[in-house]
Amino acid sequence: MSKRVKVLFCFLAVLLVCSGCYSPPEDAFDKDMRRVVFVSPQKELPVWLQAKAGFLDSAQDYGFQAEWLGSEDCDLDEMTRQISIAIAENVDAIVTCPLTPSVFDEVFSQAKEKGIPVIAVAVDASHPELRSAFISPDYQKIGHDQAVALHEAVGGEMKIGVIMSTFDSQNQIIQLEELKRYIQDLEGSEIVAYGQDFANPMTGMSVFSEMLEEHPEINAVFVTSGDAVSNYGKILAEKGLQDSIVLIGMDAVEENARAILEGEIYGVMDQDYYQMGYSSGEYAYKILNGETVPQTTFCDSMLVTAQNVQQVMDSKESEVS
Amino acid sequence: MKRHSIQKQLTCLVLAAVVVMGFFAAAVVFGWSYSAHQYSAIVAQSSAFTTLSNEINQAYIDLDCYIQNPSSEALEKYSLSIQNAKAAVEEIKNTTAVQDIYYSVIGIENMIREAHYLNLEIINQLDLNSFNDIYPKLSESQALLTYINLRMATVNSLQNEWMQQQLSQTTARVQNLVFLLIPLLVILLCVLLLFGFRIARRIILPIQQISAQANQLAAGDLSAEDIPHQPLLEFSVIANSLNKMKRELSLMIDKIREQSNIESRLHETELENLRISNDLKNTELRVMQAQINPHFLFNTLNSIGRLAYSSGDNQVVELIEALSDMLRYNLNHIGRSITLHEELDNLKNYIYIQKTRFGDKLSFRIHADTQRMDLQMPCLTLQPIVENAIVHGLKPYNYEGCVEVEITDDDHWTLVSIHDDGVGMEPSEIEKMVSGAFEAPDQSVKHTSIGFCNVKTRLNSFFGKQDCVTVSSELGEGTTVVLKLYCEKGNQNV
Repeated sequence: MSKRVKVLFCFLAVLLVCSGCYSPPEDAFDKDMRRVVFVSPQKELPVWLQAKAGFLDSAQDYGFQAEWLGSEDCDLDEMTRQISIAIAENVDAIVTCPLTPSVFDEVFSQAKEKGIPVIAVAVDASHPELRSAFISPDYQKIGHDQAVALHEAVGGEMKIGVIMSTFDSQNQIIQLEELKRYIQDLEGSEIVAYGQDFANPMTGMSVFSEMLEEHPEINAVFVTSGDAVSNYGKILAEKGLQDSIVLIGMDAVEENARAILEGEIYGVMDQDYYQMGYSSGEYAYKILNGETVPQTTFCDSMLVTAQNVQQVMDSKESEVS
Repeated sequence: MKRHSIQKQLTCLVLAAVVVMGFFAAAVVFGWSYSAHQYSAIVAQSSAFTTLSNEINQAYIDLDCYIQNPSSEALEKYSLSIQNAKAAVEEIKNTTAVQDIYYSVIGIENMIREAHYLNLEIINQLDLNSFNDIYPKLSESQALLTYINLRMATVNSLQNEWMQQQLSQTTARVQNLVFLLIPLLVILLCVLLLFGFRIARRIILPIQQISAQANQLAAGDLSAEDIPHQPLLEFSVIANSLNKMKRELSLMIDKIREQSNIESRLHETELENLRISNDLKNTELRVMQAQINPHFLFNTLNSIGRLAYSSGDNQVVELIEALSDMLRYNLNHIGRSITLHEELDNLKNYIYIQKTRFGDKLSFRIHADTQRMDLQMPCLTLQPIVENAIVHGLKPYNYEGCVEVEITDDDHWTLVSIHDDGVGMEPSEIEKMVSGAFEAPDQSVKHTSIGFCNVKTRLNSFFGKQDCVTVSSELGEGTTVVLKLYCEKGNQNV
């Protein structure tokens, strides 16, 4: 056997042995990163998924471990329990939306005791000292813009029906107050009905239907929650009222955008959840590194109607992807 | 042209197959090894998660046992369960490849640590305080256990998701490997078959050519074309050897054939000589017959001559002298060569006798334009031809005609042309006369044919050539016999 053949067979043997000894390389990741937990009210809701995208992007940019937790359907007990678990786990920072601020006082206090900074988004804590920063849309501005747009769309006296997720939802109360302030000078305009949908689309449908039956004079609907807006549009379409009743809701999500494009509703006030998510992560990281961050930060908001809905949705899709 | 040996080609083919199969085997082993490690990691982590869950819950069962019935054994069990849970946490942290699981397990680890501190406080205060005093801490510890289990559920979900992903990836990888290997294997087999067929063809075709050549050689056919050029070294050697053997065999056979021809010609020459010798003996016999009582014949001719001279008949005297000279010439010179001059003299005697016999009907004309009168030639060559011209050519005309003898020189020979203006012959008759197969009803004519053949044979034999006598004739025009007397003599045998 020639020398070359021997070398060849040796090479093949070594190759076989090496193949047999191969083990896949372990995925390398930094094992000394800070842990920041985001406890969202509805972790699978489209607007909160926008916030999640922003939060994860900030984790990528700043280099911390981001964990996305929360309840399925605005369960405050579940939210506080998740926060308690995060505190027990001794995470480095917590981001959450205290829908009903007083409910979160206890866990915020526990976090503060353990030195865990809390970032509040969308809704502020009941006491500013319980959180390290607050990032939110400017609900006064949203409420004002929403009222102005409603008035312009109706073009005259408004008989308004108001639907909130809950009457004690802090941010929605601010919006409602702005509406009231706006119409107090408008002669003939008034709020004729209130309803709460508990962020549940099915509940919202029955509440809205009853409202329309009890108050046929309604020609404007002021919705401060975003969960059931598209369902309200369907009810208006079924009743043939989409041209006689102007409805402005919240959140530019896919279903609401479809309702706008089909003319079922007039529009929605959009909050920049992506920016909220991103800024919350950024602030948490900076606080953990001893940097100073603003106590209150307002994110952008805008009215979305048939004129700009497609552009806005395209922009959001690119952010999430 | 560079030739490759069969061994080298087959070795290359086998080596190529071994190399490719080796790489295939390496790929399969690589895939198997990769998948085995993946499965091993999945099983190990799954086991670690189960251990962690079991041990942390077992620790709380042991704690409850201790609270109900404090004993060192229960405490040891609790401590052991906590240690096992911490070990499981460490194992998961060290082996997991998923970032989210790693950090979730860190959270669980923190909760276990905090729960353990609380539990130690509970254990330490168990003897000192009432149960109501330690109940808040126990509740807090139980809450932590709940949190741990909740987080374990979350992490298990992540782990299951990861396992599912890994299993899918492994399955997909195996499928990809199979999908990759099968076409490659098919291609490899096709290539190997192609090369195999090519090599087989390169082997079989030369074998067929060489076999055909060998069969032809075995059948004695040396005219077959050479086996064409063979690209393979071994076949090239065989083909060249066979071609060379065929050429040498052909040369050898040609030599044998040539020798055989020479021997055959020699044998023919010997036969010819034998026949000539036989003819000569016959001639001698006839001469011997003619020599019966030659003295008596000469004495008688002399007596007749004296009587004729006494009576003053000079013509008879000259006739008898001419006849005597002819007889003497025939008797004395038979069996040896004479000169052209002597032969012409003998011919003139014969002509004189015939002129005397036939008178003016028969005319002769001899034109000798030669410088070679002393040219050696067999005796009795011209007279029989002239006699043949008279007897065969002129007899049908009642011996009325002319016989011309013309002698001319050429560079290498002297031509003697004997022409008569007799009846002539057909080509078939000429051929028969030349070949000696002429069968004439008249005995004298037959004798003439024999004489002609005798002359021809002796001349050819004397000069060692085959073209010494040529005959041309036309019916009604006459016959011409040309004798070619070569200056250089071949055979002295007359």
